[in-house]
Amino acid sequence: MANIFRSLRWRLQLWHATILFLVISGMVGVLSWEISRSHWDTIDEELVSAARLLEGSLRLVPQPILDSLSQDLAMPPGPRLPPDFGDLDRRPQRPRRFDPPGRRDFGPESEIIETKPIESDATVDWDEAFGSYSVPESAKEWEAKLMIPDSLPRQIGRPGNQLYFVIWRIDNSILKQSALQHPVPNPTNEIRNQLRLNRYVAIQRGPYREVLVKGPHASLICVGRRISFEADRIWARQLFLAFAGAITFGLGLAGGWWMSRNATAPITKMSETASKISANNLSNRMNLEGVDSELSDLGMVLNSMLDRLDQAFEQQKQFTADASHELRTPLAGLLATTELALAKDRTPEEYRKHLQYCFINATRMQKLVEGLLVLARLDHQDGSANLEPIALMPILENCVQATELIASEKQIQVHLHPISEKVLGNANQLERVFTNLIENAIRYNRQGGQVWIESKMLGSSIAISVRDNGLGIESSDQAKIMNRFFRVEAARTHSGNGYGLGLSIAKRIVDLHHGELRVESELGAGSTFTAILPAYLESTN
Amino acid sequence: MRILVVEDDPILLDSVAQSLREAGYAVDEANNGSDGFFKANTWDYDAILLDWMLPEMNGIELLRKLRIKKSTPVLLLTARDAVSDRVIGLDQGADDYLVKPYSLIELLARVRSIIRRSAGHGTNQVAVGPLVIDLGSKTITSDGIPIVLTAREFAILELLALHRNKVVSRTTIYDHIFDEDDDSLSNLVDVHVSNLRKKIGKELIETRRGQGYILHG
Repeated sequence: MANIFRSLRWRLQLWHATILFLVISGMVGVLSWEISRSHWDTIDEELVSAARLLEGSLRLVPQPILDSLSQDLAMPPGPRLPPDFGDLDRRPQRPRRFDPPGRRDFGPESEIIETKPIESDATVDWDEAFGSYSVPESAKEWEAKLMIPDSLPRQIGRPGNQLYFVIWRIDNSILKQSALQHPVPNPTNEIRNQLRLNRYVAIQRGPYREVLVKGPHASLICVGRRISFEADRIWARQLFLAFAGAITFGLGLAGGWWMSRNATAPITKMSETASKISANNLSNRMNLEGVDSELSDLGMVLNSMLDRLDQAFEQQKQFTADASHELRTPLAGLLATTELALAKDRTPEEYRKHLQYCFINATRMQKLVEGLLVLARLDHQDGSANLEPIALMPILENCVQATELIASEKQIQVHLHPISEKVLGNANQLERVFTNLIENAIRYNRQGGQVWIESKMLGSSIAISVRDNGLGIESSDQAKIMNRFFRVEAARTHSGNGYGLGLSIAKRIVDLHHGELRVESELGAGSTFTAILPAYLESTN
Repeated sequence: MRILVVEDDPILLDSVAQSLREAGYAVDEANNGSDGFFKANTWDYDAILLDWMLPEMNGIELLRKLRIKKSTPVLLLTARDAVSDRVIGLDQGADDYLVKPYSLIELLARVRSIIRRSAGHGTNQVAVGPLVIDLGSKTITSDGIPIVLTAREFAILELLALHRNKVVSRTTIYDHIFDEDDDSLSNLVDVHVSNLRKKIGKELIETRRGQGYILHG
């Protein structure tokens, strides 16, 4: 299980699901609120227009008749209810079937008050409502006019959902009421106050919706009807919305799963490739074709790392092959010459020759092994060890002295220019560097050539150059010349003494001194090897 | 039998060449690739011992260029011991591959083997009429009786035996038994052949006038 929670794919999916859920449920919530509100608004407007009809009729009734209309007169056949409903509180509360928005508790049964600001252009088409109107004469006739006419569009009152109404006088005595489907309490002062500011007040009482408007002579008209049919419809729509939301959520989840799989697929592929790469098979590279830029960046970094690793392994292999080659050749000579000498009886001259061969080969091997050991030791040394201020001149003098013999053999003059500077370094190692450089300058020189050793300050460094007018190095070889066991063609032909390690040792030592070994050369004109070393400045210390 | 040794290490070159000479071969030496190629391309050697790492032209390149024209048996002598190197060497046309350091005895055995195989013989024993020539021990018997031959006589008989029933010209014989440093007169071949006839019987070697000699067997 821990694996699942650590999986990028699962986490992506989880985030995706959370966000999707919040967005969809928010959308569904807003939509269902909008739907129910628009429904309630329509119902309210219908009720208000019915109330307006009553209001219009009421306006036409003369004041004395209005005053004379008794409650008794106003009572149509149907259940009679007391004007005061103080005992309503004790009745059991009906379960609420819906909770439309914008409600305000008003009493035990009056759950909602919806208000609409007064609109100046709220008009009713009277002509349509009262097509043929004649002025009545008696109070009874007047009273008969105070009805909601049947000609009101049918959609308002569906069968079983008949409109009912109550008209109160200013003192809350009932002016007239229709057959009531449930007890309607007298209006409170708060409702009257609200009607001063608003066109109408809507109240939800259980499954009934009622609208109160102001009538003439400070009367109050309440029109209501049962709205369980509409409530069911709203409920169904909300259910449908929730269902659609759930389906969308499901589809979104599936899409997210597909997306997260696609997003993580290249990672899986890359890790498969990476697992195939081992020390023995470093040639595999990740295929970055069509991979997204973020991942291809990572892949490129990995590939270039593999390149470097591959190169390092290749170099190591090459080094081992070269070292074994260089060791095997003198060993082969040693074995061949001894085997030959022992094959039969020889003259003392022949024995001497074979012993001489043995000696030469053994010396070669000794030098080679020593070179390899020096390199191995230098490879394991990290920088800045044993660096101390030392004067260069004595070191260079030693080097010149050490190479005097081979210089005199070729009648080569070595010019050492005085150097007063000190460097931070290791005397033994630096002596090896310059002996190597001077030896090379002599060995790859022509008979009677020249070698110059000079120095120059370069900021806080000192550049010591060994320059010759000898054979020079081909430009294609200059980059490789410091590689281990690399020897230019001339070195292979002209000298049996080199192993191709001298310059790599020199370079490694100079590197360990935080310096740089440079080569400039022109074939046939000579070479200049320059070691740039950090100078020791007295003033700074 | 004449052999070319191409090797840049002077000590190894000297030792191998001397060892081959003591085994009765005529030996030419070359200490770099281009010299080696020139010689290998000019003469019909019985075998070439070739180092891989050579100055001027490496052994593989030499081999590739040589194979355009000649099928001289080549034994590659090298310090490169990786399997991939051996495969490259053999695929480029070498007949055998010997890794340094090697024993001279093994070297000589391999030289005999590539010469023998290039002449189409499976073993060291070559029978010609009553003669049995052992190329390994350099001995010869006629009906079971050993015959003593000089190194040159044996070399001529070996050459004729490996190309028996074919005419071998006097020049070919000369080229195969003397190395480049020898400046003996060419009629020395006739002297050696006549001595050989006296020892193994006159009727075996026939003289084709103006063409050379032929060994019937």
